[in-house]
Amino acid sequence: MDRSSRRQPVVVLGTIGHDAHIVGSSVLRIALEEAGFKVVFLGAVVPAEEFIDAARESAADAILVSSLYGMARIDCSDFGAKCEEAGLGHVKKYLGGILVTDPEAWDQTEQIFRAQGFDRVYPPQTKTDVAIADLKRDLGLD
Amino acid sequence: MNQLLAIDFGSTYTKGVLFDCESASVVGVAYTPSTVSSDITLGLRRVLSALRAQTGVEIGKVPAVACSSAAGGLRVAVIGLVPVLSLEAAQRAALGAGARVVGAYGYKLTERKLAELENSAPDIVLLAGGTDGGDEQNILHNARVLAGSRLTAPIIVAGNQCVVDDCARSLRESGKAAVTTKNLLPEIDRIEAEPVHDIVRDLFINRITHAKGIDRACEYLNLLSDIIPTPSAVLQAARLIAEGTDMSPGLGDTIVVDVGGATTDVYSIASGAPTRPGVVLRGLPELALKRTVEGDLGMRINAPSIIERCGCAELLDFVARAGHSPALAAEDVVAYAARVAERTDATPADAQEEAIDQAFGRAAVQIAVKRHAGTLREVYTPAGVVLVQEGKDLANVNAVVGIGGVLAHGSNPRFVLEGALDQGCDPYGVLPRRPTLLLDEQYVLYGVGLLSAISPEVAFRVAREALTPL
Repeated sequence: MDRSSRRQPVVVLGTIGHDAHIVGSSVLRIALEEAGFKVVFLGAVVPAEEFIDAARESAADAILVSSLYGMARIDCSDFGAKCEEAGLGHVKKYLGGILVTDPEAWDQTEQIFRAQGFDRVYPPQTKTDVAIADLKRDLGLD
Repeated sequence: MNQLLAIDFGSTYTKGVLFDCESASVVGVAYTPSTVSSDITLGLRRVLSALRAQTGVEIGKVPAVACSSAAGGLRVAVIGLVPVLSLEAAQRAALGAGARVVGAYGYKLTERKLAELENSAPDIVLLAGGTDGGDEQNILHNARVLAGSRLTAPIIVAGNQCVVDDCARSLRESGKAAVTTKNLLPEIDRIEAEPVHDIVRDLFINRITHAKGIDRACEYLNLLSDIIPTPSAVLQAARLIAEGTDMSPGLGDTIVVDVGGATTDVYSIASGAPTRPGVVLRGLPELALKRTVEGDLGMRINAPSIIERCGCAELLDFVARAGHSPALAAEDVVAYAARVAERTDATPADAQEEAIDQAFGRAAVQIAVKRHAGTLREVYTPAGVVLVQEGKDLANVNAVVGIGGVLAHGSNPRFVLEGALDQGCDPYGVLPRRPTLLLDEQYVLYGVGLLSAISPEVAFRVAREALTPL
């Protein structure tokens, strides 16, 4: 059964952990909806488990995680493994924002989060259309 | 219509109340032990003759309304996908429809879980799972498992709209009675319980009252409307008190606590929106009309379980604060609980037992309302402290109404009902701070709820007359 041909792609979006910054996610939400995605918007201060629950219930195609307060390493630990356990191994996982507070090289940062199970990791100042183009490609929607 | 009779077929007592609609007053009240196991009409006839003797009214001809929680109440088993999402939504919908939730099953039904479900003998099965356009596989799987089961209860399919018809088809092909309706959880952040409530109500009226033999009572009553579940009637009364009518303003946000022998039910009519600025809301959104049932908090069968939940030290403190001066030992409390758990019709024999009973009532109210309400906690972030709220903030509730023998016949109902209040020791309390405390002294609130469907204005005036401020 070809899902993409018969329904709107669904993404779960929110700001993870104890992070209350909601503007980044909100901007992305608008851009995603304009691009034709159905967005399950979880807002701010969202535990990792809530992303997973929402993705299961809504059969999401992708989970987009925002983190802007420098604690992503703690909040996202084992994110991919938790998804795997919940039967969401096939779901695309993206992460973006201000991911670390100490000025490491980007390559290194990206490696850390790829190891936590994210398919794509974005540095600060990434434009929404870059991520959306990647998402369409990854979901075979082009 | 000058007079109206309301009957409640309860699990332990059959009760009746006669209202005078002109004066909006209670003319007579009667109750007698229920006789569901033998013949439900026996208890009813006793109530009717007691009311006739009390009031001199030819009671059989008076227009009547009735509700029932007899014969095990309305037993509903709920099935969902994720426990904190569609399964939780299904539980809330079932409770809001006045049901007893006899089983709750998340994810895929296994053989073992199915056996458990079959043994729980539900009157209705509520099948949910998946948001609209969301997961399809889980609910389809569960529908197929139910299709192959021994269940005869009707099954309400209220999940992902893309597949509800497929689910219903596979159930019907196996001879099950399946009804489809709108998704309980159409989106992750929206619960729609009303369509399920309507179907539960229809099933209760058209199938369940007959299956339980409750409809046999109809020949003795001049019924104006269908028999509904008792908790639905109480919820309607709570709603009327809170919202008022077109002509009379209500009291605003209201909580009703019903302390029974086996359970403590809490109803809230309140949005539960944050009462402080800058609060982040988490979790499944709340229904404005919410009912919870605490199956481990009750004055008789569950008295020992109240000790477990509350602890002897606090109960002894409650005994002293309820107004009993001689010191008691923990053993006295434990012995009392064991005794009343055996005898569900027990009443306190002396002042000491009375004080212990009041303490148990206080504990039941306190724990049940705390569980019903939400939580507010501090989260430290690099950007400062953020307050995160889950569930309802009930701090600004205007009225708390108490129902139950421990309140109506007790020596210190105010102390018991004050268990519902903010105790002043939690800086982030979400319990009512300064509500009006009201007591349903004659146990007529179910009647008010039933009456509200016929004449809201009269029902509201009756409630105002019948509820005693504490």
